[in-house]
Amino acid sequence: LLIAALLMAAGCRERPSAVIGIAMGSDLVGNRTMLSARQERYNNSVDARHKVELRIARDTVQAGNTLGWANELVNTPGLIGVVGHESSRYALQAAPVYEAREVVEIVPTGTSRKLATVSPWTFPLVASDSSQGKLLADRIVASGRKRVTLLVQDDEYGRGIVMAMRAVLDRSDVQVLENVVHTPRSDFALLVRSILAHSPAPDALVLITQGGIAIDVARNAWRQDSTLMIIGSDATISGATTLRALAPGPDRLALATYWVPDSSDALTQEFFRDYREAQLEGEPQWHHAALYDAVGLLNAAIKETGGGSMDVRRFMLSLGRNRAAYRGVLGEIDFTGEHAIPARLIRPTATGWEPVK
Amino acid sequence: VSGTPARNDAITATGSQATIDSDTGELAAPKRRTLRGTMFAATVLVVLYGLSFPTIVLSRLLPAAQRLEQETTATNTAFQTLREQGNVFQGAVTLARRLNENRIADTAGIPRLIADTVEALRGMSVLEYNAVADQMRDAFAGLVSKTDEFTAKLDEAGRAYRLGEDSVYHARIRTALDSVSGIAQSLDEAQRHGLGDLLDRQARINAASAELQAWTIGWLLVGGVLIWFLVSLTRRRLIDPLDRLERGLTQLSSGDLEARIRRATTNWDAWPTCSIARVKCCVVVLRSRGDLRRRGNCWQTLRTR
Repeated sequence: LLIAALLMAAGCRERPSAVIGIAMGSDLVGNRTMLSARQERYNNSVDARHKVELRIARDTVQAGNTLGWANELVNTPGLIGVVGHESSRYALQAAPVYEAREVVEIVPTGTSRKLATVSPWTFPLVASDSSQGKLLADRIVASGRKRVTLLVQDDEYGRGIVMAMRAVLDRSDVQVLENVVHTPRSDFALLVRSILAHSPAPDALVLITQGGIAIDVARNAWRQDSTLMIIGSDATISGATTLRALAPGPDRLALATYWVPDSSDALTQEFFRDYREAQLEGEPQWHHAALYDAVGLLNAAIKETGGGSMDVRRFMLSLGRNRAAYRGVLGEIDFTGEHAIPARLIRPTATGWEPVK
Repeated sequence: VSGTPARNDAITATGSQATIDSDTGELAAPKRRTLRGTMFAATVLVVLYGLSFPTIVLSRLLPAAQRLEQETTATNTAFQTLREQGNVFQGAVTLARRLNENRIADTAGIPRLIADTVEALRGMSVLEYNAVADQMRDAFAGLVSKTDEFTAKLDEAGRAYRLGEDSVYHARIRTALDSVSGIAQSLDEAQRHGLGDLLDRQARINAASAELQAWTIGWLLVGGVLIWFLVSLTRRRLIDPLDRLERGLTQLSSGDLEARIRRATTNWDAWPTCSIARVKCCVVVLRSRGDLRRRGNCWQTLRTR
């Protein structure tokens, strides 16, 4: 009787049956606010069995300590999936931890091609760096610029895009002057001086780096040579607003993105509303939408399957095969590898951005 | 058998059960295990026994051994890569120290020397993160980022030198050298954890070996029992009847027309009880210490069964 009473008492507590871990380093507070609103809406729409709790990796774990975050999350009771990690390198480093504990890892912003094969439990949300590298290289060739320097983040993300770009540029008449590799703590003023002092000087600069660094480099570079064309990879998008303000002309800047908002779409409107209510700074960018979709995808999997890790993994694999693709803010999402969300180029206009034709 | 048995009643006939057919009312012969059935059961047992060990090996031990082998290979590769990286890194540190102490005579060649070293550092063989053993992973991740930082500073030193920015050049060389102790520490840590991983693996290999030994002993014991059973079966169901037949036929051929060939009388239903009684008897004999009366009683009891 005592056991029965205890069991009944445990059953009476309204407790979410599943937990989704969030392991995204930047803007923890903002992300938490934006996702909380959405999660509350989801939890109100389902019965107690399908309720989902979001567990955001503690920011007390040292920044960049990917494995610390991963180990913290996998020890959370009820964890069935993780959204993260922020960069390709971190996601690759954490993948074996999630695989060992059979936890689905949805990587919203990592683009390294290695993510597709690192573990059967890892699911990159968007197309890999192969397609993005080709897109950036094609843009250089089409622009008529002949001397290009690549400023590259020293990790799997940067190396992947460079490899794909070189495959196109080495067959064209564009000369790659330098491949300048950097880390987050590099002296960017020195690097820009060195890049522009090269003889012959570059007429185009490709930034395969994060938004903050891109702003720093672009400001220095355009100050010395305003004719320079700068093309940024998808990671530079977090600095899009400032880069647009800095650009000497609309034809001097192009950025890669995995999302061009369609404001007539109901899902996008809902996302915009959550974004505004979270009072996040700046315009919503593709990485916000990707994070939003990754959580939505796991919610949908839990709602449909009940929340076992293996069932959630099967759900992901079935998308686009025997189940319709998941419809998110970024577009139709599946993991067949045939309809990956593609990278697109945008350039500044007087009021915002427009796709590069 | 006497009297008229009622329908569906069971009657006892020579120790076996005979039944009345419910439709015809005729007395049915007692069910008895046929030789063919017994031999079939024995064959099934032998096949099951024969397959059991390979099944255990294939389903339990082989996958574990393969995984262990893969992991050990991965750790060995990690060690090898770390050694190679250590060598390249050592060369780069030596160069940085010489540059810091202005011990390079050919100053015009400095940019090329730095560029080559940076290229060697960036061209080092890279380990995939999922190929690194669990215990090494943390230290390995730290090592990668620290080495990248060292390389970036050395690269910046080369660029500053080309730009003629002497103070920046020296500052970057010093920064690069400052990070050396951290890298060496991470390298040691990765190797220490790798060693721990190998020792752990060694323990698992020993455990797997002990498990295999236990399974083998168990399998052999079961095999022994099975052989005893089969020998006993062959003796009772084949050799003894043939022996009796031979003796009877010999008697008949020698003119003894009264000779009788006895059929086997083993009561298979009572056989397990009988076997247990036999074992008990053996125990009694062993413990009787020459008490012939106790021994006699025991065998007498057995015979009556």
